[in-house]
Amino acid sequence: MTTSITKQLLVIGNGMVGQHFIEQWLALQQENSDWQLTVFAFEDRPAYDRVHLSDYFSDGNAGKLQLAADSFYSDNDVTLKLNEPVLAIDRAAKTVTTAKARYFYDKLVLATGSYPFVPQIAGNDNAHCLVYRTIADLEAISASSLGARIGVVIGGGLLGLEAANALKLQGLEAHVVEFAPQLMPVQLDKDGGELLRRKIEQLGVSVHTDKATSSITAGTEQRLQLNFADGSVLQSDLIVFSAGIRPQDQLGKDAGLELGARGGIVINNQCQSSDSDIYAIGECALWQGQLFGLVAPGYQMARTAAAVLSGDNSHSFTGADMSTKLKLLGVDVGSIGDAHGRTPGSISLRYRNDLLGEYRKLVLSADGKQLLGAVLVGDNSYYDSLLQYALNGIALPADPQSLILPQSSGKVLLGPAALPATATLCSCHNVSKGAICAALDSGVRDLAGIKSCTKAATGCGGCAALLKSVVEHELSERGVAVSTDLCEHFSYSRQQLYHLVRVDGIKTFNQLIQRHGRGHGCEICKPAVASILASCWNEPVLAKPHVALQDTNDTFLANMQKNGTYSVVPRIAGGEITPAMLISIGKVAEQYQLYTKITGGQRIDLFGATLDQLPLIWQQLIDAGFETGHAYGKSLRTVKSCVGSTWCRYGVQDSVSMAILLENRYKGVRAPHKIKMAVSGCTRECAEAQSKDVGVIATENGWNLYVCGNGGMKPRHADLFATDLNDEQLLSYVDRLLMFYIKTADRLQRTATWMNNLEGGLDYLRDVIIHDSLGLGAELEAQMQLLISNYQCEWQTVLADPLQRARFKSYVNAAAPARSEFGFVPERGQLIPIRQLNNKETDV
Amino acid sequence: MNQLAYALDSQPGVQQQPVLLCQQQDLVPFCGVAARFAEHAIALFYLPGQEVELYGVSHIDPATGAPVIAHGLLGESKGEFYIAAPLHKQQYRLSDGQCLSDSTLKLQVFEVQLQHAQVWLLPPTE
Ligand code: SRM
Ligand SMILES: Cc1cc2nc3c(=O)[nH]c(=O)nc-3n(C[C@H](O)[C@H](O)[C@H](O)COP(=O)(O)OP(=O)(O)OC[C@H]3O[C@@H](n4cnc5c(N)ncnc54)[C@H](O)[C@@H]3O)c2cc1C
Ligand code: SF4
Ligand code: FES
Repeated sequence: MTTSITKQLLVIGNGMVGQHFIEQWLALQQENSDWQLTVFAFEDRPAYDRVHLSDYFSDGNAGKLQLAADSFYSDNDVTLKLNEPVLAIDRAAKTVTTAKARYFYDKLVLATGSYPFVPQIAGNDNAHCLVYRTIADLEAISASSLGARIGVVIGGGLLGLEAANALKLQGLEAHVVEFAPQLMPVQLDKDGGELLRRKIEQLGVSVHTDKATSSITAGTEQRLQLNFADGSVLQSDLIVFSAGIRPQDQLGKDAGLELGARGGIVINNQCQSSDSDIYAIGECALWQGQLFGLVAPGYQMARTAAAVLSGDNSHSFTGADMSTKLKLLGVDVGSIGDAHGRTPGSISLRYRNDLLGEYRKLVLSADGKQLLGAVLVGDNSYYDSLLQYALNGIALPADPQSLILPQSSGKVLLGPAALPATATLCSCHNVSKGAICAALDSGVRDLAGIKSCTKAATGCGGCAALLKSVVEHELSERGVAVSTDLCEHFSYSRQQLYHLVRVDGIKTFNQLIQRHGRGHGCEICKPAVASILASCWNEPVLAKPHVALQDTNDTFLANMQKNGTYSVVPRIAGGEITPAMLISIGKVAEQYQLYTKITGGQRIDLFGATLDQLPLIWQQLIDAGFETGHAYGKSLRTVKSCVGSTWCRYGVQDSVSMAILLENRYKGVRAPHKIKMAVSGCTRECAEAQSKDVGVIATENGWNLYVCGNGGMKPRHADLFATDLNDEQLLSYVDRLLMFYIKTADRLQRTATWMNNLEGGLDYLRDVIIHDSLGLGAELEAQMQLLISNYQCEWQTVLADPLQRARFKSYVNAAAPARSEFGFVPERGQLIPIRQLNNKETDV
Repeated sequence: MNQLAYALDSQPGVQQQPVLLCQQQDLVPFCGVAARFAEHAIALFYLPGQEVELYGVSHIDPATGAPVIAHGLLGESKGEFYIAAPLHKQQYRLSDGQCLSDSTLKLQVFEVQLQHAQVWLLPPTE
């Protein structure tokens, strides 16, 4: 008998780590490798991204989670046996057995992952008791949610909270039941856990801590009833167990491999089990008494096993960092290293702000020089720097508290320049700063290129922000002009500046240009930054630090006209106005001889006021009950309405009330460009809603929402976005849409262009807004809520402040000029600018 | 040209002595304000901490004749300061009034000085 020269490498499990092993292995094989690779999968689909499993609930698209293309396996001569679990290993014969056949192996890799632990509770076998690990599990949760009202998650750890969010996305009232006295007891300390609980409860998820579930019985109101040890009960239609995971080590156990006392296949630094021909990687493996429930360590094991199996013994697995940064139900949570301060002699520093809902703790070595661990709740912008300090042993600054104090204290966090070349940026794919620099030196010129050639930021994604800042920094070091620069003062796009402002908590232009720009600014970046600051914090635009930034019209809260006078546009929400209000506008216009016109936006514009007159005119309007109409701002202009069901025989909803509601909700919100809306009471569409950024058309069942339309220079009909919404859904979608636009659009880009430039266009926008695919929904709504609650009538603010009011002077050293000096002539009973004042530009 | 611009620009008077225009506190940092002297309307730009802290140029927009220049946005490019006209955004260099985007346009420059917290207009130096 001739021995076959092909050697058999078998992998059991095609999960995230098994898949990574395949890729690493293939990369190390020569052209004419004598190895044949076969992979056995329990599930009926090729490996998918478990980390982003919950996205399935926002977009229902399981295919998007798949890690490699279907053709990947055959293209690379990998035999993938789906739906064919291995049942037994025979170490003596060196075979594995499935329901279909027996296979010989020369080397065997176990990548069987783990399974959800379901505690021994009577009744846990009910059809509506589920777990959260695979796509099949999610499909079962979806099915069980039909006709359900309440869902309970047992387990308040990381996965439990993610499951709770999933239940919420299914439209269920979500509860979390935790055995420990706090949420996320593994990663967070008591204060952090408490704050997280408060935040999550604010988001509408009920949290029950210190609760031991003793049995599950049939419910009276809901399908099931949870009975707790303390005698209390909770009814629910479905229950998701998320009480931890256990290594899937049965095969190893049956084959007599060495296991840990509490499970897990024992491996050495080469990822070999007690049988040197059998390797174990990922969540099923136990290294020095430790299990690793995260992808990054699993990937490192996969890399090591692939190298060792290819004959390279220099690789070894020597433990991994278990730090995590997450957004749970929209709440930032971060845990780094020794979060509980278990290192003997360690000391801690804490920052706790109940007002802002932020908590941060540093765990330092006894001498205060090294960062051992950290806990973050509420704001993860501190995470990247802290992780770098902890991972790379970078010496801490003399005042380490500056690392967690709010940024207004002026301290700059560890920037991309300060990181050593050896610093690991991406722990999933083990990419160092040096590797990024090498890729840049070999000619890669953008972030996308770096991602595809180094794989950095393509795992859990936690390192994306850091990677970006390093790439940008290194590119500019290499003199590469990044084309998205706003202007010569900022090497950032508007979107990036928005992010910096938001993340660093920057409140003024000077802070921003000092920290992230150069020079003194110009007419491009100043108004753009003014708009970003207003979009983030909504401080009065004429407050001292912002005055010098505003575009001409914003500077005096009025639109400058061709002859140097200004127009006055009070808000007339929805176009509805009482006769008394009309009369008071008329009186003011008459008194100041202002040219008066009904605008295309269903309100009234008064033209020809001098700077000196503006405060006087506005005082009268405000006394009469008006407020500013923001005709000057890149912000909401008008929400047009038709009379709707109140009067019209065809109307099916009250379009006027809805228009007024929308206008009052979003008035004053600054955006990259102006925003217009309209609401029609039926499909006859008399309010022309389909030509607006946000158009709403009434239906028998609620509202149809249209987005991203405009009139103007390049008209575009709005696209139908969602149908039959109730008031609450409508507002939540519009909140998210506007805030996402504010976050990501370019300067002076209206919604239509913005949407056309978004990769994935309308579908992507639907994913983000409706299905919350980025998990941003709650954050966007909260940010919008901040803007709404900080609203003030800017004219009222100016009039109340003598200093601001004093700026409204044509000349600082002379009396107000007579109106006649600006050159007016009468026409059809009103005063208009002298005709020959036509400027050059209008001739072209 | 409108009446105001006409009144301000038609008969440039001959000034012999420095004239007190206004107080420093009337200025707004990194913004413009307008001041009047005789037939002139002067836009004053105050740049505290810069090499030249105060610039004076005509307040009248050469492109439209409207008195608006002081209300433009102050900009800087490669260390030079300019003002972007509010109506149509032409850029005028503050040091000599030259329009950077249209060589036919220029702002009249006024010699101004900040002294003892007061703003002075100096006589033209030929
Ligand atoms: C007053 C008004 C015309 C009128 O007499 O009816 C008007 C006047 C101006 N429009 Fe308008 N627009 C007016 C309704 C519109 C409409 C109709 C509407 O809103 O239903 C449109 C088309 C719809 C749209 O925007 O999608 C419109 C499309 C524009 C555009 C082109 C926008 C575009 O995306 O292409 C500009 C230029 C810009 O914003 O960059 C513009 C800009 C302007 C400016 C601000 C030009 C300027 O910078 O001086 C005008 C100044 C008005 C002032 O001084 O108060 N205006 N403008 C209307 C004020 C509505 C209001 O109550 O606020
Ligand atoms: C909802 C959720 C969110 C998560 N979020 C994060 C996160 O944010 N960050 C992070 O780092 N980690 C996260 N994780 C954990 C991460 O997904 C795991 O660490 C990772 O998937 C482990 O990979 P693995 O290959 O070891 O195991 P798995 O991905 O579980 O793969 C094991 C595979 O082996 C198969 N298998 C088992 N037995 C057999 C057999 N006998 N024959 C054939 N096949 C078999 C299983 O069916 C499974 O498909 C999350 C997990 C979940 C469920
Ligand atoms: S259409 Fe043109 S001229 Fe008329 S108001 Fe709008 S911007 Fe001005
Ligand atoms: S650290 Fe997970 S993708 Fe980089």
